[in-house]
Amino acid sequence: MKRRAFLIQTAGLAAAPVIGLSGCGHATPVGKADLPDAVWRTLAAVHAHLFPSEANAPGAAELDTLGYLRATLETPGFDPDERAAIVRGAEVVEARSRAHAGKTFAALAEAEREAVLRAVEATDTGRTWLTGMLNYLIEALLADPVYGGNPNGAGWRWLDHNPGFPRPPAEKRWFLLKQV
Amino acid sequence: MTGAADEFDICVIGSGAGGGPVAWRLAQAGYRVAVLEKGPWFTEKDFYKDELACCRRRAYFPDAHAEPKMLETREEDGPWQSRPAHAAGWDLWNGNMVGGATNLMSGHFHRLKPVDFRLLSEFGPIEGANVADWPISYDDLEPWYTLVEREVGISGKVVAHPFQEPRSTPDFPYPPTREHPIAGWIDAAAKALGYHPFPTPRAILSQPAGGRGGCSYSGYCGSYGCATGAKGSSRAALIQRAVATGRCEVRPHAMTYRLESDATGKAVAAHYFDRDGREHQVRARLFAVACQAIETARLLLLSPGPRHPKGLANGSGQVGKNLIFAGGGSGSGRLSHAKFGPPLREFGSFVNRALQDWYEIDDPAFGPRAKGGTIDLVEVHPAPIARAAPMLEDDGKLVWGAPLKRKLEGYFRYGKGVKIEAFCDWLPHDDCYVTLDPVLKDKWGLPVARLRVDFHPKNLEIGWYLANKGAEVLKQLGAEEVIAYAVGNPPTNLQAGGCRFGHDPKTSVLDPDCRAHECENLFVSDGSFMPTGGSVPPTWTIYANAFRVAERMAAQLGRT
Repeated sequence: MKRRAFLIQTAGLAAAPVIGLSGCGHATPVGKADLPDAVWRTLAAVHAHLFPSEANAPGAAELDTLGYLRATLETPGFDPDERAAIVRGAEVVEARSRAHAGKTFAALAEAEREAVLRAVEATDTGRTWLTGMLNYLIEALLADPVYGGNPNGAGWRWLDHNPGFPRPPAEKRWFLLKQV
Repeated sequence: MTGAADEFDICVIGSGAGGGPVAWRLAQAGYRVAVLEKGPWFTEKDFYKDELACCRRRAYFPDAHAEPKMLETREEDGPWQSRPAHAAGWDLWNGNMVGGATNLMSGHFHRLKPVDFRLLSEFGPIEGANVADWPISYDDLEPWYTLVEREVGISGKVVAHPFQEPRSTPDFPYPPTREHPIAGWIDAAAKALGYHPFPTPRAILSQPAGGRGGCSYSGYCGSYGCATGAKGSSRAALIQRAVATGRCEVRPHAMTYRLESDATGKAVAAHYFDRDGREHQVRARLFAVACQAIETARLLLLSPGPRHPKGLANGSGQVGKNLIFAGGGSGSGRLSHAKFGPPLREFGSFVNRALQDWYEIDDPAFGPRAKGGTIDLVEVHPAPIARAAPMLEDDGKLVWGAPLKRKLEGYFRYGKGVKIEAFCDWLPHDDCYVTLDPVLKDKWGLPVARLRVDFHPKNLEIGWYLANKGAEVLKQLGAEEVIAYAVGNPPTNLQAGGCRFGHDPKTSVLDPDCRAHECENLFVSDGSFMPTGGSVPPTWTIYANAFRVAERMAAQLGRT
């Protein structure tokens, strides 16, 4: 158990967040968690739209929601079907963007992004995918920073939330407790 | 291939509120005890304020896909529909670890009252319900309630009210846990209405005792494991002490799949799988089954023997019948920082208020005198993701972007919420029971529990009545957005019944000592024995009865 925990922690360090902020704040972690770069670019733009950065309130970039999503995807035992669904959803978003405006989702103006995502929401699978993304977003906002989002408690501070104590150390993250 | 058997005086299957008292009392009495627990053995060092661990990823629970249950429900009088419980959004596992669900309880503890032991005699039959008197009285159980106060650790203060049950001691052994100012505001509001609020007893040590820490008031509590040992889990309060005697061996990751009985009908061995799927067995003179109501019934049904063709102790066909939960209602109100000022911001202390003015309802506007229930008023749980998640949808449409962020700000920064939790009897009836599913198997290839769950309409009437009374108090207090409602679906964490105790072997599985009528060395020591559940959460009663059963087991061993 101890050795396994050590290996997992080490792996986590090796895959430490290298989310570059580029252009208008889109995180683009490349080649992580077995997702194609193009998918990460789509997810970055989708997250930025679903939880935008504002002067007085953190957005997806400040909350490192993509870092959180990547850490979640790298969790031992992560459901491969869910991983595939995340990829398919991103592809659907891109297909709708091209059909709508002949551009990638990241290149769309805000109103166009909204129209594309509302169209995605109108289908059952699209709604499920968006619900999943929003759930990852609020987890990145409010889960303990040990899981890769909510850096330094930025989400808690914004919402005036007291996280209580003791807080989980890395070696006691939920997927490690499952190995006890 | 089953390995060589280990021999013990007592084998306890399950280590929660029904198992811990038996393990501790019998180990203390000098007997060799084996505890078979299907979950892992966590300690205080494994419990953090981690919403992903406790609740979102459920680190302390089995994988619902690997260990499913089948659920059969219906809408109104429509056809019965079955699907795996997890597919219906139900999780009927309540803590898969040494100490069981008590690790994760909030520990709002109430005793039953004398009237609960004779519901049929007091109120007469109810159409469509299988109401029965208990074969013991409140007086029989009272000493054991008192023992739980001391040994598990209950903090509180006795305050007179019209339905205060008799006590053999003047007050609780531990002073009340620290109170949030909201508790005082509730007192004032309820008293202004002529009601009698009192501090809810908590199975939480308000000060260190017996090697356990006192409450650290860290915020959160229910659904989260306790990092100081203050919470009176079976593990912290009893199992650890049983192990310390040197006579109790706890085997975690031990999934008991069959109780073997011999040609005379006696139980002789518990067979279990270890975490690697290897088979083992424990032989003992006495067995206590305490797997929580649904799994206890399942284990007995999985254990036919030469004298038990329909499952162990199931000659009457009563195993699994009359499963009960807690009926009731719910509601909430919000207190704003703007109105209640800085005291509202106090963090970590408890609201802890209850009302039992309507434990029996004698109200012409309601109808004939009826059994009512209990209202607990508690702070809305601070778990942030659970509170944020409902904001992702509005009128059937997903919410995101700036509108979502404004909703979150408005909700989180507004103030605090107070929740109404109303408890009434879950009336036992013919459409609430456990059998084995003929098709669905768990990861060990064993038939899973199949539940049919419907509720008696009377639950809703009482639930509405109580929830509205709670709402009246919140409105008087000055809460905003006060809502109240009754709930038909059961709280899946409050399970009981399925192996009723009684005098008649034709209508009950257990005798008044919770020994199986048909198997002299088999006891059931969890909440399965309860013919009716009272109008409170059952945990204190389960603990108390398990201590009583332990005494009967010790007496039986002393005789043999």
